[in-house]
Amino acid sequence: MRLVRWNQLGLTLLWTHYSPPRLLVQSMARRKYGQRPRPPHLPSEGGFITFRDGTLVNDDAINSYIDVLKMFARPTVHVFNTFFFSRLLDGFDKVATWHKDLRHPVFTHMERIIVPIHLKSQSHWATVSIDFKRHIVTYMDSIFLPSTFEFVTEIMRKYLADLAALETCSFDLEAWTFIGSKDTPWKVLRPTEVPSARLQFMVDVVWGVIDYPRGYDHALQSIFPSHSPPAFILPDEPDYVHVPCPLSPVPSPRSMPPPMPAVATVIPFRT
Amino acid sequence: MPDVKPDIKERKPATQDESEVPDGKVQITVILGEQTFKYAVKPTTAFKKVFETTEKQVAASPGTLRFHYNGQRLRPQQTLEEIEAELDEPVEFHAQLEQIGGA
Repeated sequence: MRLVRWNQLGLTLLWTHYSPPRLLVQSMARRKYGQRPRPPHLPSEGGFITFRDGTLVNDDAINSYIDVLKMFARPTVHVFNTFFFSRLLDGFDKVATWHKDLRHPVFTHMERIIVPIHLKSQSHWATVSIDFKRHIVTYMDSIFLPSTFEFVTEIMRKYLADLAALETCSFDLEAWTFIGSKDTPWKVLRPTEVPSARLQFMVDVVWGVIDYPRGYDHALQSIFPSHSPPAFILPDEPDYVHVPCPLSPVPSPRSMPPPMPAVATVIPFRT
Repeated sequence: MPDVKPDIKERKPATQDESEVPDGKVQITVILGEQTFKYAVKPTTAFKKVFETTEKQVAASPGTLRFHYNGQRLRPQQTLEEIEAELDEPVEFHAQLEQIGGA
């Protein structure tokens, strides 16, 4: 009798019928890392609970999803985990070792670094995307307070300067643009496209976190080596039934909406 | 018959010196805010013990602390061998409280 390897079967089958997340994720890890799989950290029970509607998202859930994203990401795109920013607040030396896995020098060999931000006082999640090619730092926050934007921008300026000093790179802060955006795609899409907090969270990560200003297509190209995302990121599984909206027709899940208008505030560099 | 007394000097005196790590074990420093905890663990011991002990010491409920090593999130079932920790340098784990927020 010939044994069938589970990872040779379709992802859909694994996702729907057979203990979905663990096997799916592990089979993907095996594909990428060969004989020595390094499956991402799966959320504990608490992490899964926070995917439900009406609950807040905890770090466990976000970090697990980031781990999955990192498996698909090009080596030039790096996503830090949610604790990076809170460590960075204590000083750059606390996070200097976190850059081991990156390509060096970061300023020339990395395309993008994504820093999830936990705003403890607001109990809120935001994100910073550092684009090393275009020299743009984008702060994405659905409730967007200007004070928070300035605070995060200041931290990021310092971070970039410290990173340049660590790598003995020349660094011109004036060449960098800091953009803050308020609207996140999931907020616009919520009535029709996003029926549950769990999916909202996934859409937020894929759409908003990766590269919101240049739209979904670019986000996928940026983070995924091929233009075929895994089935569960653009889910059309039975548990992702779209809630009908009386005001607008329900778009197909795979249709590409136009890029979001750039509601951006640019704070020029102050000397 | 001569009265043979046990040689007390040969016995290792009990010491509280934290820098003394038994053979085959590695010292792990767990840093939580300003608090520091030191443990000597075998490279094959799962971190679950370390996590639980730290949570007990700071009276945190189980599962509410997150542990990292050089930015790598640690899982309870992992070991020093698995994470390929650099044992030449002091091994420092950083613990942080759970983060919760709306997106």
